[in-house]
Amino acid sequence: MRMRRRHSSESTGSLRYEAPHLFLHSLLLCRPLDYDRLYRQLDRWEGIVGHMYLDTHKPPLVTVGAGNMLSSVSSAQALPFRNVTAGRPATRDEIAHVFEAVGAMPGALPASHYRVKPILELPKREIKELAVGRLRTDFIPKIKTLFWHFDDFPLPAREAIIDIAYNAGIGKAESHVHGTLHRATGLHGFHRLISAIDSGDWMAAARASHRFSSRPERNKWTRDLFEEAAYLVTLRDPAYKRAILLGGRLRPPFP
Amino acid sequence: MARRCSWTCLLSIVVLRSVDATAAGELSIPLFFSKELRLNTLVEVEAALSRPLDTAWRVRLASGQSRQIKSCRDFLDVAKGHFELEREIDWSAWWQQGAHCFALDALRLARPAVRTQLGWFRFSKEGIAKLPPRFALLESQDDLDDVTAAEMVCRQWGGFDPSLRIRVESLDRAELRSDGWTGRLLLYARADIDGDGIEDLLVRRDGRVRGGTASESRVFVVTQTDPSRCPRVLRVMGTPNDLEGQ
Repeated sequence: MRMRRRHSSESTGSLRYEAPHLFLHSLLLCRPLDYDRLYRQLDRWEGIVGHMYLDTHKPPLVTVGAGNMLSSVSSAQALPFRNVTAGRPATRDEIAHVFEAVGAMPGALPASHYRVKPILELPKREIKELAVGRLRTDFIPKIKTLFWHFDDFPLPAREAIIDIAYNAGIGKAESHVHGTLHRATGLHGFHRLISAIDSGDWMAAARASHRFSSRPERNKWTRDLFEEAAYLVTLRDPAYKRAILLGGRLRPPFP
Repeated sequence: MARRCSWTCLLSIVVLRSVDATAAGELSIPLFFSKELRLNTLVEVEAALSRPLDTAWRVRLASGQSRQIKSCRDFLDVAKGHFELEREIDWSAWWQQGAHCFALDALRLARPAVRTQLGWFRFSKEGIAKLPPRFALLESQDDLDDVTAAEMVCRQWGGFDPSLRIRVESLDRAELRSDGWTGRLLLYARADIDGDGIEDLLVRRDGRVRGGTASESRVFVVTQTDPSRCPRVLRVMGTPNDLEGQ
């Protein structure tokens, strides 16, 4: 469900929205996270691979699914890989063989180049469970330590924050170790974004969500999510509700 | 008196000869190329751009057309425009594999330098730590603002990021570790890249954040024009969202 919007002046950042129904807004504001949707978003921006491949770490690491790193042969053997060629569950020896073969290949190749024989793949359901499990037990709890009211944020804002955290990492806050300043890392390093989120200024959050390593399309998508959040929150204001009920068009009070 | 004059004349002749020789390029600074570029001379750059990449890629252009990318020439043709890879997962690998193409592109107009202010630079822990802080992996606008402020006061990368750990592996390659990311550094070349006669460094830095999926491969041109001034980054090439444009 996406709201229609018209960009009246892209260069100045001025936006003009067409008002959709109020009940849709309230649904979006308080709706719980949809993990199917989050998984689809991961697929769109990160890509999902059923077989083992090397990621772009230096040195490269054996990975599977939606960026699930396999630290050792045993961690790979713990997953229910299937031997696609033979049409049966993969044996421990086959998993170890493929893990070693992929690990010995050079990095920075397209993922499909690591599809070595015998072809072992994780079932789609398992890949999704792994990815959603990481979101539920790793990323979202850590995000909540940074934003205590995370669950109260508009749904698009929550999705945008999860995307940034998954991409840039949660990281650590700035610290002093033995008198030396260690800079904040990951999501913690987005000071302006954190400040904007803390003050509920979703338009400022949209402006501060830019990541230099992300592709422009992904940055735009994240920015749009924060802008949607700004729009939804603005509509919660009784004065704007009245304006919509009276059939008027809305011009949100931000630049 | 005559003896003193002859010594002065001799000294003047020696100085004038050396200035003349420098101007004529006779005393140019030796070029350096990483083995990874597979270059011996600058003349070979054009041929290197036509060499096949490790993988032949297929991209979909904004026009909807599909195009096969076999060499650096193809890569550079599409890299600055809008395109899609066949699979999103390959985005990082694409920029990693093509990073050397940016280096070759930068070397097209390069020539031997006649002067250097980068004589102090050695590919060592100490030398790398003295590079500009822009070599750090920058994710947010806050990071970029911090780097810009640090560069204004001539801070070095090692001072800007005290958590930076450098392990030099060879003459041109080093492994990097920092609080929020890991990566590697590769000295591609030493030459006059921008045509001002002064030696520049062409350095690649790959980086990947810890605990996240973000990664990038960038190629930096570093120069220093005066011994009293600090080295600075002239150009950044690589992964889109180019820092130069910010």
